[in-house]
Amino acid sequence: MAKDYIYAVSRIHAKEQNLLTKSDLDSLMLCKDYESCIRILKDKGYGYPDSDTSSDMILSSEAEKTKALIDELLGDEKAVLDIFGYKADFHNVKLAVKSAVTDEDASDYIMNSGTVSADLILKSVREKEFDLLPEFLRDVCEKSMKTLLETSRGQLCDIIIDKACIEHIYNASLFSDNDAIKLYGRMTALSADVKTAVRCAMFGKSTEFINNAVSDTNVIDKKELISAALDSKESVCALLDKNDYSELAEALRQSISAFEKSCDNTLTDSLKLQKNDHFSIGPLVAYYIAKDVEIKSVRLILSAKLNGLDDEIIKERLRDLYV
Amino acid sequence: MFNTLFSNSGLFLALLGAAFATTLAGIGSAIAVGRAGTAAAGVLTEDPSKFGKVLIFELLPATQGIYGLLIGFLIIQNVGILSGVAAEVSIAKGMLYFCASLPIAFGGLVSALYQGKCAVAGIATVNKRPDQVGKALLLPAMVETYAILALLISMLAVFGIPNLAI
Repeated sequence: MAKDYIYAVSRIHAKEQNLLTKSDLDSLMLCKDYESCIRILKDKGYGYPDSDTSSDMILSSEAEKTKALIDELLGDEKAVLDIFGYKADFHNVKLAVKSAVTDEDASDYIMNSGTVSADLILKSVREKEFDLLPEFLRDVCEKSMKTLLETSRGQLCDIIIDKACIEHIYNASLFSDNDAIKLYGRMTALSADVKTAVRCAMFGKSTEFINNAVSDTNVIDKKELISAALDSKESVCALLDKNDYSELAEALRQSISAFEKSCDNTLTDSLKLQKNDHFSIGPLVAYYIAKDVEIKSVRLILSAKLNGLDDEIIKERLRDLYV
Repeated sequence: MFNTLFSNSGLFLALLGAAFATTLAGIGSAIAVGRAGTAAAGVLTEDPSKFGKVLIFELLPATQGIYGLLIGFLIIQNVGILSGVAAEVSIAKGMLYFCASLPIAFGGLVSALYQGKCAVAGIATVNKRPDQVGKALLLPAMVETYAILALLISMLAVFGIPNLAI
Protein backbone atom coordinates (compact mmCIF):
# COMPACT_ATOMS: atom_id res chain seq x y z
CA MET A 1 0.00 0.00 0.00
CA ALA A 2 1.46 3.37 -1.04
CA LYS A 3 2.33 5.65 1.84
CA ASP A 4 -0.04 8.53 2.31
CA TYR A 5 0.79 11.98 3.61
CA ILE A 6 -2.64 12.97 4.96
CA TYR A 7 -1.40 14.96 7.97
CA ALA A 8 1.35 16.71 6.03
CA VAL A 9 -0.92 17.54 3.10
CA SER A 10 -3.64 18.79 5.41
CA ARG A 11 -1.18 21.15 7.10
CA ILE A 12 0.20 22.29 3.78
CA HIS A 13 -3.31 23.02 2.46
CA ALA A 14 -3.85 25.12 5.60
CA LYS A 15 -0.54 26.90 4.97
CA GLU A 16 -1.60 27.63 1.38
CA GLN A 17 -4.07 30.13 2.85
CA ASN A 18 -1.09 32.26 3.84
CA LEU A 19 0.55 32.30 0.42
CA LEU A 20 0.46 35.69 -1.22
CA THR A 21 -2.23 36.22 -3.84
CA LYS A 22 -2.14 38.36 -6.95
CA SER A 23 -3.97 41.13 -5.10
CA ASP A 24 -1.33 41.01 -2.34
CA LEU A 25 1.37 41.55 -4.97
CA ASP A 26 -0.70 44.38 -6.45
CA SER A 27 -0.86 45.98 -2.98
CA LEU A 28 2.92 45.68 -2.69
CA MET A 29 3.36 47.35 -6.07
CA LEU A 30 1.02 50.16 -5.05
CA CYS A 31 3.15 50.92 -1.98
CA LYS A 32 4.83 54.30 -2.07
CA ASP A 33 8.19 53.05 -0.85
CA TYR A 34 10.25 50.10 0.32
CA GLU A 35 9.33 50.57 4.00
CA SER A 36 5.59 50.31 3.26
CA CYS A 37 6.25 47.06 1.39
CA ILE A 38 8.15 45.68 4.39
CA ARG A 39 5.25 46.63 6.70
CA ILE A 40 2.78 44.70 4.52
CA LEU A 41 5.11 41.71 4.32
CA LYS A 42 5.56 41.68 8.10
CA ASP A 43 1.76 41.73 8.48
CA LYS A 44 1.63 38.72 6.17
CA GLY A 45 4.05 36.84 8.42
CA TYR A 46 7.30 37.46 6.56
CA GLY A 47 10.52 37.58 8.56
CA TYR A 48 10.94 37.00 12.28
CA PRO A 49 9.56 39.36 14.94
CA ASP A 50 12.02 42.17 15.75
CA SER A 51 14.34 40.99 13.00
CA ASP A 52 16.26 43.13 10.56
CA THR A 53 14.09 44.71 7.84
CA SER A 54 16.56 44.27 4.99
CA SER A 55 15.02 42.48 2.02
CA ASP A 56 17.73 39.80 2.08
CA MET A 57 17.04 39.00 5.72
CA ILE A 58 13.26 38.94 5.31
CA LEU A 59 13.32 36.79 2.18
CA SER A 60 15.97 34.38 3.41
CA SER A 61 14.07 33.92 6.69
CA GLU A 62 10.95 33.09 4.68
CA ALA A 63 12.87 30.50 2.66
CA GLU A 64 14.31 29.07 5.89
CA LYS A 65 10.83 28.81 7.44
CA THR A 66 9.51 27.00 4.38
CA LYS A 67 12.43 24.56 4.37
CA ALA A 68 12.02 23.92 8.10
CA LEU A 69 8.29 23.25 7.68
CA ILE A 70 8.77 20.82 4.78
CA ASP A 71 11.64 19.06 6.58
CA GLU A 72 9.45 18.68 9.67
CA LEU A 73 6.56 17.25 7.65
CA LEU A 74 8.68 14.85 5.61
CA GLY A 75 10.84 13.68 8.53
CA ASP A 76 13.10 10.85 7.33
CA GLU A 77 12.02 11.38 3.75
CA LYS A 78 13.20 14.95 3.39
CA ALA A 79 15.76 13.78 0.79
CA VAL A 80 12.83 13.76 -1.65
CA LEU A 81 13.23 17.52 -1.95
CA ASP A 82 17.03 17.49 -2.30
CA ILE A 83 16.54 18.23 -5.98
CA PHE A 84 15.66 21.83 -5.08
CA GLY A 85 18.94 22.27 -3.22
CA TYR A 86 21.25 21.19 -6.07
CA LYS A 87 21.30 24.65 -7.68
CA ALA A 88 22.70 26.06 -4.43
CA ASP A 89 25.28 23.25 -4.22
CA PHE A 90 26.59 23.95 -7.71
CA HIS A 91 26.50 27.70 -7.08
CA ASN A 92 28.71 27.09 -4.03
CA VAL A 93 31.03 24.95 -6.17
CA LYS A 94 31.44 27.88 -8.57
CA LEU A 95 32.32 30.19 -5.68
CA ALA A 96 34.66 27.65 -4.13
CA VAL A 97 36.58 27.01 -7.36
CA LYS A 98 36.93 30.69 -8.22
CA SER A 99 37.87 31.71 -4.69
CA ALA A 100 40.44 28.90 -4.48
CA VAL A 101 42.06 29.98 -7.75
CA THR A 102 41.93 33.74 -7.15
CA ASP A 103 42.54 33.42 -3.40
CA GLU A 104 39.60 35.71 -2.57
CA ASP A 105 37.10 35.30 0.23
CA ALA A 106 33.72 34.12 -1.14
CA SER A 107 31.94 33.49 2.15
CA ASP A 108 29.61 36.48 1.67
CA TYR A 109 28.09 34.93 -1.45
CA ILE A 110 27.51 31.34 -0.36
CA MET A 111 24.02 29.87 -0.37
CA ASN A 112 22.93 27.84 2.64
CA SER A 113 19.94 26.13 1.01
CA GLY A 114 22.01 23.36 -0.59
CA THR A 115 22.17 19.67 0.29
CA VAL A 116 25.89 19.81 1.10
CA SER A 117 27.42 22.13 3.67
CA ALA A 118 28.84 25.19 1.91
CA ASP A 119 31.80 25.18 4.31
CA LEU A 120 32.61 21.61 3.33
CA ILE A 121 32.56 22.54 -0.37
CA LEU A 122 34.79 25.58 0.22
CA LYS A 123 37.23 23.60 2.37
CA SER A 124 37.52 20.55 0.13
CA VAL A 125 38.02 22.65 -3.01
CA ARG A 126 40.55 24.93 -1.30
CA GLU A 127 42.53 21.91 -0.04
CA LYS A 128 41.86 19.90 -3.23
CA GLU A 129 40.44 17.07 -1.15
CA PHE A 130 37.60 16.26 -3.50
CA ASP A 131 36.98 12.86 -1.88
CA LEU A 132 35.34 14.68 1.03
CA LEU A 133 32.51 15.70 -1.30
CA PRO A 134 29.55 13.61 -2.42
CA GLU A 135 30.12 11.76 -5.69
CA PHE A 136 27.96 14.12 -7.77
CA LEU A 137 30.21 17.08 -6.93
CA ARG A 138 33.64 15.43 -7.08
CA ASP A 139 34.25 15.25 -10.84
CA VAL A 140 32.76 18.64 -11.58
CA CYS A 141 34.90 20.30 -8.92
CA GLU A 142 38.06 18.69 -10.20
CA LYS A 143 37.31 19.33 -13.88
CA SER A 144 36.22 22.96 -13.43
CA MET A 145 39.22 23.76 -11.24
CA LYS A 146 41.62 22.20 -13.74
CA THR A 147 40.00 24.15 -16.59
CA LEU A 148 40.18 27.44 -14.70
CA LEU A 149 43.82 26.89 -13.75
CA GLU A 150 44.81 25.93 -17.28
CA THR A 151 42.82 28.52 -19.25
CA SER A 152 42.05 31.28 -16.70
CA ARG A 153 38.66 31.57 -18.44
CA GLY A 154 35.85 31.85 -15.91
CA GLN A 155 33.22 31.32 -18.59
CA LEU A 156 34.51 27.84 -19.41
CA CYS A 157 34.51 26.99 -15.71
CA ASP A 158 30.91 28.23 -15.40
CA ILE A 159 29.82 26.20 -18.42
CA ILE A 160 31.18 22.97 -16.92
CA ILE A 161 29.47 23.59 -13.57
CA ASP A 162 26.15 24.77 -15.04
CA LYS A 163 25.97 21.82 -17.41
CA ALA A 164 26.72 19.35 -14.59
CA CYS A 165 24.08 21.06 -12.44
CA ILE A 166 21.35 20.81 -15.08
CA GLU A 167 22.18 17.20 -15.86
CA HIS A 168 22.20 16.25 -12.18
CA ILE A 169 18.84 17.92 -11.53
CA TYR A 170 17.30 16.31 -14.62
CA ASN A 171 18.64 12.83 -13.79
CA ALA A 172 17.44 13.15 -10.18
CA SER A 173 13.97 14.10 -11.42
CA LEU A 174 13.83 10.96 -13.57
CA PHE A 175 14.17 8.81 -10.45
CA SER A 176 11.31 10.57 -8.68
CA ASP A 177 7.81 9.11 -8.53
CA ASN A 178 6.32 12.58 -8.29
CA ASP A 179 4.99 14.28 -11.42
CA ALA A 180 5.72 17.78 -10.09
CA ILE A 181 9.39 16.90 -9.52
CA LYS A 182 9.64 15.27 -12.97
CA LEU A 183 8.20 18.41 -14.56
CA TYR A 184 10.53 20.62 -12.52
CA GLY A 185 13.51 18.61 -13.82
CA ARG A 186 12.31 18.79 -17.41
CA MET A 187 11.51 22.52 -17.33
CA THR A 188 14.84 23.32 -15.63
CA ALA A 189 16.77 21.47 -18.34
CA LEU A 190 14.65 22.87 -21.16
CA SER A 191 14.88 26.44 -19.91
CA ALA A 192 18.66 26.29 -19.40
CA ASP A 193 19.41 24.63 -22.76
CA VAL A 194 17.18 26.93 -24.77
CA LYS A 195 18.62 30.06 -23.12
CA THR A 196 22.15 28.77 -23.77
CA ALA A 197 21.28 28.03 -27.41
CA VAL A 198 19.77 31.49 -27.95
CA ARG A 199 22.78 33.25 -26.40
CA CYS A 200 25.13 31.13 -28.51
CA ALA A 201 23.11 32.05 -31.61
CA MET A 202 23.30 35.75 -30.71
CA PHE A 203 27.06 35.68 -30.18
CA GLY A 204 27.84 33.32 -33.08
CA LYS A 205 29.51 30.61 -31.00
CA SER A 206 31.15 27.55 -32.56
CA THR A 207 29.72 24.02 -32.72
CA GLU A 208 32.28 22.83 -30.17
CA PHE A 209 31.40 25.60 -27.73
CA ILE A 210 27.65 24.95 -28.03
CA ASN A 211 28.20 21.21 -27.70
CA ASN A 212 30.06 21.80 -24.43
CA ALA A 213 27.50 24.27 -23.12
CA VAL A 214 24.23 22.45 -23.90
CA SER A 215 23.39 19.61 -21.51
CA ASP A 216 23.11 15.97 -22.55
CA THR A 217 19.58 15.66 -21.16
CA ASN A 218 18.05 15.62 -24.66
CA VAL A 219 14.80 17.21 -23.45
CA ILE A 220 15.09 18.73 -26.91
CA ASP A 221 17.23 16.70 -29.31
CA LYS A 222 20.78 18.01 -28.75
CA LYS A 223 21.87 17.75 -32.40
CA GLU A 224 18.85 19.71 -33.57
CA LEU A 225 19.36 22.32 -30.85
CA ILE A 226 23.03 22.79 -31.82
CA SER A 227 22.04 23.19 -35.51
CA ALA A 228 19.41 25.76 -34.53
CA ALA A 229 21.87 27.63 -32.29
CA LEU A 230 24.38 27.76 -35.16
CA ASP A 231 21.70 29.31 -37.33
CA SER A 232 19.62 31.94 -35.45
CA LYS A 233 17.32 32.68 -32.54
CA GLU A 234 14.33 32.15 -34.83
CA SER A 235 15.56 28.62 -35.61
CA VAL A 236 15.59 27.87 -31.87
CA CYS A 237 12.01 29.22 -31.64
CA ALA A 238 10.99 27.05 -34.61
CA LEU A 239 12.53 24.02 -32.89
CA LEU A 240 10.45 24.73 -29.78
CA ASP A 241 7.35 24.95 -32.01
CA LYS A 242 8.24 21.62 -33.55
CA ASN A 243 8.52 20.03 -30.08
CA ASP A 244 5.02 21.20 -29.02
CA TYR A 245 6.28 24.11 -26.93
CA SER A 246 4.50 26.77 -29.02
CA GLU A 247 3.67 28.97 -26.03
CA LEU A 248 7.31 28.98 -24.93
CA ALA A 249 8.44 29.68 -28.50
CA GLU A 250 6.11 32.68 -28.68
CA ALA A 251 7.50 34.00 -25.38
CA LEU A 252 11.08 33.46 -26.59
CA ARG A 253 10.36 35.52 -29.71
CA GLN A 254 9.57 38.42 -27.34
CA SER A 255 12.59 38.10 -25.04
CA ILE A 256 14.58 35.69 -22.91
CA SER A 257 12.98 37.05 -19.72
CA ALA A 258 9.51 36.44 -21.23
CA PHE A 259 10.63 32.88 -22.00
CA GLU A 260 11.85 32.37 -18.41
CA LYS A 261 8.53 33.69 -17.14
CA SER A 262 6.61 31.38 -19.47
CA CYS A 263 8.63 28.34 -18.28
CA ASP A 264 7.88 29.20 -14.64
CA ASN A 265 4.19 29.75 -15.44
CA THR A 266 3.97 26.38 -17.21
CA LEU A 267 5.36 24.74 -14.10
CA THR A 268 3.00 26.67 -11.79
CA ASP A 269 -0.03 25.79 -13.94
CA SER A 270 0.79 22.09 -13.70
CA LEU A 271 1.32 22.37 -9.96
CA LYS A 272 -2.20 23.72 -9.48
CA LEU A 273 -3.52 20.18 -10.05
CA GLN A 274 -1.89 19.22 -6.74
CA LYS A 275 -4.37 21.41 -4.85
CA ASN A 276 -6.98 18.65 -5.19
CA ASP A 277 -4.67 15.90 -3.99
CA HIS A 278 -5.06 15.02 -0.30
CA PHE A 279 -2.94 11.89 0.05
CA SER A 280 0.36 12.04 -1.88
CA ILE A 281 3.54 14.06 -1.49
CA GLY A 282 2.57 16.21 -4.52
CA PRO A 283 1.03 19.15 -2.60
CA LEU A 284 4.19 19.44 -0.45
CA VAL A 285 6.36 19.67 -3.55
CA ALA A 286 3.92 22.13 -5.11
CA TYR A 287 3.94 24.30 -1.97
CA TYR A 288 7.73 24.33 -1.89
CA ILE A 289 7.96 25.46 -5.51
CA ALA A 290 5.06 27.92 -5.07
CA LYS A 291 6.77 29.52 -2.08
CA ASP A 292 9.98 29.82 -4.11
CA VAL A 293 8.09 31.58 -6.92
CA GLU A 294 6.42 33.86 -4.36
CA ILE A 295 9.77 34.80 -2.79
CA LYS A 296 11.21 35.53 -6.25
CA SER A 297 8.23 37.80 -7.00
CA VAL A 298 8.56 39.65 -3.69
CA ARG A 299 12.32 40.05 -4.26
CA LEU A 300 11.59 41.56 -7.66
CA ILE A 301 9.12 44.08 -6.22
CA LEU A 302 11.42 45.03 -3.33
CA SER A 303 14.38 45.51 -5.69
CA ALA A 304 12.23 47.68 -7.95
CA LYS A 305 11.07 49.78 -4.99
CA LEU A 306 14.64 50.21 -3.76
CA ASN A 307 15.85 51.22 -7.21
CA GLY A 308 12.80 53.29 -8.17
CA LEU A 309 11.87 51.14 -11.18
CA ASP A 310 8.58 51.48 -13.02
CA ASP A 311 5.66 49.14 -12.14
CA GLU A 312 5.33 48.08 -15.78
CA ILE A 313 8.81 46.56 -15.67
CA ILE A 314 7.81 44.58 -12.59
CA LYS A 315 4.53 43.40 -14.15
CA GLU A 316 6.37 42.12 -17.23
CA ARG A 317 8.50 39.87 -15.06
CA LEU A 318 6.06 38.78 -12.34
CA ARG A 319 5.26 35.06 -12.47
CA ASP A 320 1.78 33.55 -12.05
CA LEU A 321 1.14 32.53 -8.47
CA TYR A 322 0.01 29.13 -7.18
CA VAL A 323 -3.04 30.50 -5.35
CA MET B 1 -13.22 -29.78 20.40
CA PHE B 2 -13.85 -30.39 16.69
CA ASN B 3 -16.67 -32.80 17.56
CA THR B 4 -18.38 -30.11 19.61
CA LEU B 5 -17.87 -27.64 16.81
CA PHE B 6 -19.33 -30.00 14.19
CA SER B 7 -22.31 -30.86 16.37
CA ASN B 8 -23.05 -27.13 16.69
CA SER B 9 -22.21 -26.15 13.12
CA GLY B 10 -25.29 -23.94 12.83
CA LEU B 11 -24.35 -21.97 15.92
CA PHE B 12 -20.75 -21.74 14.73
CA LEU B 13 -21.80 -20.33 11.35
CA ALA B 14 -24.13 -17.82 12.98
CA LEU B 15 -21.36 -16.65 15.29
CA LEU B 16 -18.97 -16.46 12.35
CA GLY B 17 -21.49 -14.15 10.66
CA ALA B 18 -21.64 -11.94 13.75
CA ALA B 19 -17.85 -11.81 13.84
CA PHE B 20 -17.67 -10.94 10.14
CA ALA B 21 -20.17 -8.09 10.43
CA THR B 22 -18.50 -6.56 13.47
CA THR B 23 -14.91 -7.07 12.38
CA LEU B 24 -14.98 -6.01 8.72
CA ALA B 25 -17.23 -3.00 9.23
CA GLY B 26 -15.15 -2.11 12.29
CA ILE B 27 -11.88 -2.33 10.33
CA GLY B 28 -13.32 -0.04 7.63
CA SER B 29 -14.43 2.52 10.19
CA ALA B 30 -11.18 2.37 12.13
CA ILE B 31 -9.09 3.06 9.00
CA ALA B 32 -11.41 5.80 7.76
CA VAL B 33 -11.74 7.56 11.13
CA GLY B 34 -7.97 7.33 11.47
CA ARG B 35 -7.42 8.98 8.09
CA ALA B 36 -9.98 11.72 8.70
CA GLY B 37 -8.53 12.28 12.18
CA THR B 38 -5.04 12.62 10.74
CA ALA B 39 -6.25 15.21 8.23
CA ALA B 40 -8.14 17.02 11.00
CA ALA B 41 -5.00 17.10 13.15
CA GLY B 42 -3.15 18.73 10.24
CA VAL B 43 -5.77 21.47 10.05
CA LEU B 44 -5.86 21.96 13.83
CA THR B 45 -2.08 22.36 14.00
CA GLU B 46 -2.47 25.48 11.90
CA ASP B 47 -5.92 26.64 13.06
CA PRO B 48 -7.31 25.15 16.32
CA SER B 49 -10.52 27.20 15.97
CA LYS B 50 -11.77 24.73 13.33
CA PHE B 51 -12.03 21.85 15.82
CA GLY B 52 -15.83 21.72 15.88
CA LYS B 53 -16.10 21.70 12.11
CA VAL B 54 -13.51 19.03 11.39
CA LEU B 55 -14.69 16.77 14.22
CA ILE B 56 -17.99 16.11 12.41
CA PHE B 57 -16.06 14.91 9.37
CA GLU B 58 -13.98 12.58 11.48
CA LEU B 59 -17.07 11.02 13.01
CA LEU B 60 -18.90 10.42 9.72
CA PRO B 61 -17.19 7.12 8.79
CA ALA B 62 -17.53 5.80 12.34
CA THR B 63 -21.14 4.71 11.74
CA GLN B 64 -20.29 1.60 9.69
CA GLY B 65 -18.56 0.10 12.72
CA ILE B 66 -21.71 0.75 14.77
CA TYR B 67 -23.90 -0.86 12.07
CA GLY B 68 -21.65 -3.94 12.09
CA LEU B 69 -21.86 -4.08 15.87
CA LEU B 70 -25.67 -3.84 15.69
CA ILE B 71 -25.96 -6.77 13.26
CA GLY B 72 -23.47 -8.82 15.27
CA PHE B 73 -25.44 -8.06 18.42
CA LEU B 74 -28.77 -9.08 16.83
CA ILE B 75 -27.33 -12.36 15.56
CA ILE B 76 -25.86 -13.41 18.91
CA GLN B 77 -29.09 -12.41 20.60
CA ASN B 78 -31.17 -14.51 18.14
CA VAL B 79 -29.04 -17.62 18.70
CA GLY B 80 -29.19 -17.25 22.48
CA ILE B 81 -25.52 -16.64 23.15
CA LEU B 82 -26.32 -13.36 24.87
CA SER B 83 -28.61 -15.00 27.40
CA GLY B 84 -26.15 -17.83 28.02
CA VAL B 85 -28.53 -20.52 26.76
CA ALA B 86 -27.63 -21.37 23.20
CA ALA B 87 -30.62 -22.21 21.03
CA GLU B 88 -30.74 -25.13 18.61
CA VAL B 89 -29.53 -23.63 15.35
CA SER B 90 -29.68 -25.82 12.26
CA ILE B 91 -26.82 -25.68 9.75
CA ALA B 92 -29.17 -24.08 7.22
CA LYS B 93 -30.16 -21.34 9.68
CA GLY B 94 -26.53 -20.83 10.69
CA MET B 95 -25.63 -20.43 7.03
CA LEU B 96 -28.47 -17.95 6.59
CA TYR B 97 -27.23 -15.87 9.54
CA PHE B 98 -23.78 -15.92 8.01
CA CYS B 99 -25.16 -14.75 4.63
CA ALA B 100 -27.25 -12.08 6.37
CA SER B 101 -24.09 -10.60 7.89
CA LEU B 102 -22.31 -10.23 4.55
CA PRO B 103 -24.01 -7.04 3.26
CA ILE B 104 -23.02 -4.96 6.27
CA ALA B 105 -19.64 -6.69 6.56
CA PHE B 106 -18.50 -5.85 3.03
CA GLY B 107 -20.82 -2.89 2.38
CA GLY B 108 -19.68 -1.40 5.67
CA LEU B 109 -15.99 -2.02 4.99
CA VAL B 110 -15.91 -0.52 1.51
CA SER B 111 -18.28 2.37 2.20
CA ALA B 112 -16.30 3.33 5.31
CA LEU B 113 -13.02 3.40 3.37
CA TYR B 114 -14.46 5.60 0.64
CA GLN B 115 -16.35 7.78 3.08
CA GLY B 116 -13.04 8.29 4.86
CA LYS B 117 -11.44 9.53 1.63
CA CYS B 118 -14.39 11.81 1.01
CA ALA B 119 -14.19 13.09 4.61
CA VAL B 120 -10.48 13.94 4.13
CA ALA B 121 -11.40 15.92 1.01
CA GLY B 122 -14.25 17.59 2.95
CA ILE B 123 -11.81 18.60 5.69
CA ALA B 124 -9.62 20.19 3.00
CA THR B 125 -12.66 22.11 1.75
CA VAL B 126 -13.51 23.40 5.23
CA ASN B 127 -9.85 24.22 5.70
CA LYS B 128 -9.97 26.59 2.73
CA ARG B 129 -13.64 27.62 2.83
CA PRO B 130 -14.98 27.35 6.41
CA ASP B 131 -18.28 28.93 5.29
CA GLN B 132 -18.97 25.91 3.03
CA VAL B 133 -19.10 23.36 5.86
CA GLY B 134 -22.72 22.39 5.07
CA LYS B 135 -22.05 21.51 1.45
CA ALA B 136 -18.75 19.84 2.28
CA LEU B 137 -20.53 17.69 4.85
CA LEU B 138 -23.22 16.58 2.43
CA LEU B 139 -20.76 14.93 0.04
CA PRO B 140 -19.28 12.30 2.37
CA ALA B 141 -22.75 11.86 3.89
CA MET B 142 -23.93 10.58 0.49
CA VAL B 143 -21.61 7.57 0.83
CA GLU B 144 -23.47 6.72 4.02
CA THR B 145 -26.51 5.80 1.89
CA TYR B 146 -24.84 2.57 0.81
CA ALA B 147 -23.89 1.61 4.33
CA ILE B 148 -27.53 2.18 5.36
CA LEU B 149 -28.80 0.04 2.46
CA ALA B 150 -26.43 -2.76 3.47
CA LEU B 151 -27.54 -2.42 7.10
CA LEU B 152 -31.20 -2.57 6.05
CA ILE B 153 -30.81 -5.83 4.14
CA SER B 154 -28.71 -7.43 6.88
CA MET B 155 -31.22 -6.33 9.52
CA LEU B 156 -34.32 -7.52 7.64
CA ALA B 157 -32.66 -10.86 6.99
CA VAL B 158 -31.57 -11.33 10.64
CA PHE B 159 -35.09 -10.44 11.86
CA GLY B 160 -36.69 -12.87 9.40
CA ILE B 161 -34.49 -15.93 9.90
CA PRO B 162 -35.93 -17.09 13.31
CA ASN B 163 -39.41 -17.38 11.74
CA LEU B 164 -38.26 -19.68 8.96
CA ALA B 165 -39.20 -23.32 9.41
CA ILE B 166 -35.86 -24.83 8.40
